[in-house]
Order: sequence, then structure tokens, then C-alpha cells
Amino acid sequence: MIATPLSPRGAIGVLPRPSKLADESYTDFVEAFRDMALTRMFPIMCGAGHDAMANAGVPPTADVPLDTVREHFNRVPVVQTWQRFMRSAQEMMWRRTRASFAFDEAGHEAMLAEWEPKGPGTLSYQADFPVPDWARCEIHLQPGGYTDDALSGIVYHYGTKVFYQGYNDQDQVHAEVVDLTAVPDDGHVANVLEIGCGVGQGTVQFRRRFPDATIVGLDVALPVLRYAHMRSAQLGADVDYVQALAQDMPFADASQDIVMSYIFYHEMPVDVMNGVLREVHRVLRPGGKFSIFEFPSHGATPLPPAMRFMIDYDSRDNCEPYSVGFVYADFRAAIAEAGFDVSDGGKPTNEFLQSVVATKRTVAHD
Amino acid sequence: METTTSTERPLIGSEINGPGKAYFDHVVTDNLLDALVELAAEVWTTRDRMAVLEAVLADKGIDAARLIEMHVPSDQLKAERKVEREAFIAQVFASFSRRTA
Repeated sequence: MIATPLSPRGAIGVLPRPSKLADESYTDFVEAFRDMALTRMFPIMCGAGHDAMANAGVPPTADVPLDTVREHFNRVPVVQTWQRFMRSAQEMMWRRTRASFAFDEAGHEAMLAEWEPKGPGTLSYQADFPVPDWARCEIHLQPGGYTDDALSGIVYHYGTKVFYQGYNDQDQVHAEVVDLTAVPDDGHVANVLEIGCGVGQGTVQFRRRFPDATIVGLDVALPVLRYAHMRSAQLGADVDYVQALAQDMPFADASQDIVMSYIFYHEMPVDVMNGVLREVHRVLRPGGKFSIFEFPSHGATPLPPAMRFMIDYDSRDNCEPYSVGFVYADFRAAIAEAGFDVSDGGKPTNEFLQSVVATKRTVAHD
Repeated sequence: METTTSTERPLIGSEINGPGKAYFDHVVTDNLLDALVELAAEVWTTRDRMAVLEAVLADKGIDAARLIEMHVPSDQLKAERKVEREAFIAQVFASFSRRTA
């Protein structure tokens, strides 16, 4: 049970309830409305856009420049409406979620401060930590993003409940990826690290899976880490949180047996991603396993116009400024370039995700 | 990539409270659809609350549906409902003030 003054209506399992029934009903509506736009309207939108291109004498093939795709798609009423609905739903979700938990910001701050020195588990940060500007955008339109709103933790937690459409209310998605996380061949697991841990939904699941290991969650955003620590401690999960950049981690060489990341790399510039991969290679021990669950990356694979239009929309209008760089990167090649052997990981129920296991070689190769 | 850090705190909520995005040739179409979704959310929220209310009262043996139909509001309640009604209208039609050009 999560105990915060921002959810006076309590929690359902591990999910805090909005402060009013009206907020819960409103976000339930947004969740269902967004599902309608994604599952019913999106295929219609794709077909209508392709038809518009074909009717104008432009075959809807993968080699059509994106500007041309945009020009034709953006004239189609259902395409315009789909974009309007997606953007409106996202704005409504964040606006109402934040408002629901913002009625007592001082009380929330006091509770976060009260829990900071409490255990189980610890929280490590420095007050003047220099957060890079690239990490401070209002990603996914979330007010203040991860880094600049004291309420980011609880707002992100409940906001993503809508994103997951009810499938992650009790951290089921995080539990599954933790269960699918690869273990070194020798079975030795003393140190487990989750990078980009957010509010710690996966980190606490590692405590369940590896009861005797040291579990650390790392993130650049202090507001989400403070919430993660409070939440974990309230749940009785002995895990440690550290504020740091994943490309510059305060861990010794070869100190980690397992590293895991979940939907992480599309939220940073590609050169930062490459730095993170090299840094994980440094801290992982020979034979250690790095499990990656991530949105798809297509490299140079040709994509139909509608898919490229959607990727472009999401980047521009859902404040995903780095997703295009990631989507068109050769992610597996980048992992291999960092020194890993790359193989397929266990497949989560959400088949949209790619699952990769990167293994640090036990013997250096030329 | 050169890493830069700023001490200036960005305005929280500039994405969702600024002019946002427009997708139609005339911004009024965006505003109308924005209002339509907002209105639909409010209609659902009210229906949901009514369902919860009636269930809660029924558990207590109260026939809320009949009592609601027979209710006569006081002047104070009328005034309170007027304030709430005005706030409701401001919320539903907020997009027309956000995007004006």
C-alpha cells in the first residue's frame, strides 16, 4: 500500500488512486478514448493516407520522401482528426493527472523528505547534480518532464497507468520483463542494476526475483527517484536508488552481474545512447548479462509511408525529440560496437517490444 | 555531443497549457474537436459518479433515483451549482481561448 497525502483515497494494490473519483473517471475515459484512436482509427488513418497518395499519382512506397508523405497525409480529414485526438488525449491525461495530485504539494514534499532517510533501501543524490539540458524536455508532454517537477514521480506513475491501458496497474509489465531478464551462465548474481529505472516499478521486482542480491536503480531524474525510494520503502523492498547519468555511472569496472533497461534508449540522443552502451560494458563483469527491452528500431529497413508518418508525428507532437534517431538507428550494431555479443532475449507479452541480451565476453576478442 | 546544463528552470506545463498544436486548416476545427473530447470526458465522469452514487446509496437502502427526481434545491444550492456550471463551461471551451489566431 502506498501512503501519500496526495492520494487520500488510498491505493488499489500498488497503484495510488487519484485524489477524487472525478479524476479517476476522467482519466479512465482518456484511457478508453486513446485506445479507440489507436486500435480503431489508426488503421483507417493509414489506409486513407495511402489512398490519398495513390489518388494523387504517388505510389505509397517506402522510398517516398517524408515531406511528400506529410503533404498528402495532412490533407486527409481522418488523418487530421487522428492527430487532433491523440494530442488532445495526451494533454488531457497529463493536465488532469497532475491537477489531481497537486492539491497538496507541500504535503507531498514533506512526505518525500520524511522518507528519504528511511529504509529499507537508500537514496543517493547530490542537490546540485548537473542534469543535462537534453534530459529536461517535457517528454510525452508530461509537465516538467521527469526532471523539473517535484510531482514528477507520482504524476508519471499514474499517467503511465493510462498509457498501459490497465495492463500495468499492479506492475505486471515490469514484473514480466524482470522475470525475462537474462542471468549469467554461471548463475552467480550478487549485483543487479536497472538503468533508467524511473519510479522503480522494475527495481522492486528485482528484489522479488533475487532476494539475496544487491539491487540498484539508477536514473538522472531526482523527482522520480525520490518517489521511487518512498514507494519501495513503503512496499518493504530493500533496493537502492542512485541519481547519475547512465553514461557516467559511479560503479567500479566489472562490478555488475546483471544490467537491465526498459524502454530507455529512445529517450536520449543517439550519441548519448552509444555512451551508455559503452558504460554498461565497463561496469558489467565478464560473462555478465545486459537485458534490453525497448521500442522497435528499424535501421535502414524500408517502412511504409503511414508508419513513417506516425513515427514523425510522435516525435514532433508527443515530445519525443530523440525517438526518430533511435527508430532509424541500427541498435543491435550499436550494442555490438560497444563490445557485446548480441542475441535475442525472451519475448514479453507485448510483442511490440524488442528484447535483446547483450553478453560481455569472458575472453577479449581481437 | 557536448553536454550542456542550465540552471534556469523551464516553465512547467508549457506543452499542455501553451498554444499546443493545430492540424486543420482553420484552428476552430481543432478547438471544436478539443471541446468535444473534453465534453465527452465530462459526460462520462458524471455518469460514472452517478453510477457510484446510486450503488453506494442502494447499499444503504436508499432509492436515490426517486429522491433525486423529487428534490427541490435551496437558494444556496442554486448559487453553488451556478458557480460549478460556469467552471464547467470554462473547462469545456478552454481551447477557444488557447488558440485564437
